[in-house]
Amino acid sequence: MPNTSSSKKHCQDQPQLSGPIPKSHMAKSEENKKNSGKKLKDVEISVPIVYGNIAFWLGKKASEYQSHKWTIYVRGASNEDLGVIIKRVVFQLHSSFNNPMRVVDAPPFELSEAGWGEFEIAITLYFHSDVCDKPLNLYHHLKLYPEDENSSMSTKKPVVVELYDEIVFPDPSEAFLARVLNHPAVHLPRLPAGLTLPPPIPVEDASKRRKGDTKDNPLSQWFLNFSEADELLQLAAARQQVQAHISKLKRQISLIEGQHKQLKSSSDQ
Amino acid sequence: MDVKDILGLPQISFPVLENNSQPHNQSQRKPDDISREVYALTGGLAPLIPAVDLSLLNKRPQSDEKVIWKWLPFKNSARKDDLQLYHWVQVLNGVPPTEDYSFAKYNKSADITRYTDEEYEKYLANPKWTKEETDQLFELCERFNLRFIVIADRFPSSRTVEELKDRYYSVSRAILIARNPSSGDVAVHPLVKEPYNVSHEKERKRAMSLVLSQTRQQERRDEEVLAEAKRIAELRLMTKVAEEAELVVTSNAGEDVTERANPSPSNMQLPPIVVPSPITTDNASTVASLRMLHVYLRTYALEQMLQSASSSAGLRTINRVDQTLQELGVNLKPRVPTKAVCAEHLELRNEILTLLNIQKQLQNKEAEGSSFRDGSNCETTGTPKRSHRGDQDRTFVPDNTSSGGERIGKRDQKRKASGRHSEVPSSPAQLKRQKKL
Repeated sequence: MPNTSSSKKHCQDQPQLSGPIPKSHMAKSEENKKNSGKKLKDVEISVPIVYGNIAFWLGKKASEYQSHKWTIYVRGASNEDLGVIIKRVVFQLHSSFNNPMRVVDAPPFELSEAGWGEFEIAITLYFHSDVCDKPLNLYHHLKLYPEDENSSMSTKKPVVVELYDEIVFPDPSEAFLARVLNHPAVHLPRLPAGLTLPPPIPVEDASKRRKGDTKDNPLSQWFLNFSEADELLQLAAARQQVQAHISKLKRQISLIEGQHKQLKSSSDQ
Repeated sequence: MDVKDILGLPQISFPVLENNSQPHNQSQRKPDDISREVYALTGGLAPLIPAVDLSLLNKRPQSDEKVIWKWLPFKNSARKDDLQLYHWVQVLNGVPPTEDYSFAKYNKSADITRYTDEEYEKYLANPKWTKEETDQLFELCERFNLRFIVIADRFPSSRTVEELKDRYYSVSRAILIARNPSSGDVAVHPLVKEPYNVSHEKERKRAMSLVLSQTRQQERRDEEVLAEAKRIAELRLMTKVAEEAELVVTSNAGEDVTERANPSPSNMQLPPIVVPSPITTDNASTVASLRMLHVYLRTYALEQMLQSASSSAGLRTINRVDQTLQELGVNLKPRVPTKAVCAEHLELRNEILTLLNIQKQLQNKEAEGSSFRDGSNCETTGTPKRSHRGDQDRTFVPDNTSSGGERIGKRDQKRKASGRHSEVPSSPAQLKRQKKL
């Protein structure tokens, strides 16, 4: 498992946890504890999200201009509620749609439409005021038709394209930190010792929050799984190979240098 | 559009749905009630705000109506005198129209508050302006509807446009406030909220005229200076960040930067020679610029890191790194870009760079070696190495030991002296010798 000291994030010991991203996962902060006297620059909050689209072919009910029913969405990577961070999401559709700028004010942040064309959708995420006042842009190319041209389209099996990414807040405010301290959708680093946070503003009650997550979403059966374990394994194996090769080559170099020395001494004679 | 083609103007169209956007987009289609040529005159697109209702263009009077045209006098409410004018009017069924002249509604004028003499005495007295002048000013303002250029021209004593404006706006403002001392609505009236600022206006106009009268040379010079300033600012930022990074070095933090700049014993992974220092500054400045964003995507951060690395390494090297990654079975862009994965990915790339550097070192060493033996006859570096670069990259593909065997045989024929050479297993070296011989 990648636990080497050269990896950027580890200034100390914390080992990487493999497997699906667990809750309150400790990602490393950048500077060490000596600088903990500074403000919250040492703390980085990351929110793993998945965004993409699911498209169903309408089959018999398809018309010339509406051959597919599709949904574009932004969800938490583990299907948790993103409403605690994201205030609203604006989906900018192709101009041929009525009101191409669609605003979704509450989680789950998804939009369903019917159409026939594939185009790029600009997704803008607006955060709550204590999180960040700048919006963030994502771009997703809507996919309706399956990759393989020959495969037949079925009304039961949709075309699913999802992309994993993480929203990173490099210097969060204390209020934000206090609010999301134990929220499952958010990855927090280890907080520097002695950091006292103001009490969080009372959160909406749990029942209201539940509706924002996508665990019970009707489309959740099609959601893809994103586990960092495979990727980490792959990378670790590759690194090992490379390192082995490096040492092999270094040995060769020293060997040759030895030979050169001998040659030199012999020719000088 | 044909016109655009003739003029050589670029066509603006959506890349994906170029041909098929017609059905969705109503305005592209010709409206049915006017002829094609007439529609094409408008450029093939309906105007944003149609001046005339298109359907009326083709409207013909119904058969039961009788339309006659008559030369009749008309009333114009916009005129204040009694001038009687005539024009042709459509008379339907013997009934002449009775509405006001249709253009009278466009006769709008600005709302100018007039003051009484008392008000003047109380609020509006000003050493630089006599009451007479102020009265004249207001008269002209009303007459010319606040067209200050004309007013300045007509004003009996010479005053600049800014002075006139200043006087007019400050008087109006004072009157408004005086008449509505307690009303909150007045506070949002634009006259009150944004008072006229004479010096600012003068300065603004001066600057405008300067800019407008700049010669092309001056424009170019200005641009150059600005670009230079930007470059200097960026340089300063980078050196500042680099300094910060080095400060962190001394405080023994465990950052990425530390390891590369200063091989502290606990963190030594690779020998320092292989890692050039430009990577340090690039990394640190990328991190700093990311932090300034307040929010960013992990994939974006990864891309920035890669770009800063590639700027210091060169395109060819980056392509080789990518190729190696593919051979190793690693995604060029991680499918699950978590913090850990991104860090590992960057580390891997750096290690591959190291590997490539070492391979080059090895080649150099061997070139030196063969130059020793061959004496003056040989070509040490140069083309032979370059032509088989492709081969040496394939370090992770099944090895060319088999081909190496043949070469060893051939080599031995020509070179009896050193049996040592056959020990050297790396294929690139063998290939090189092959070419020399």
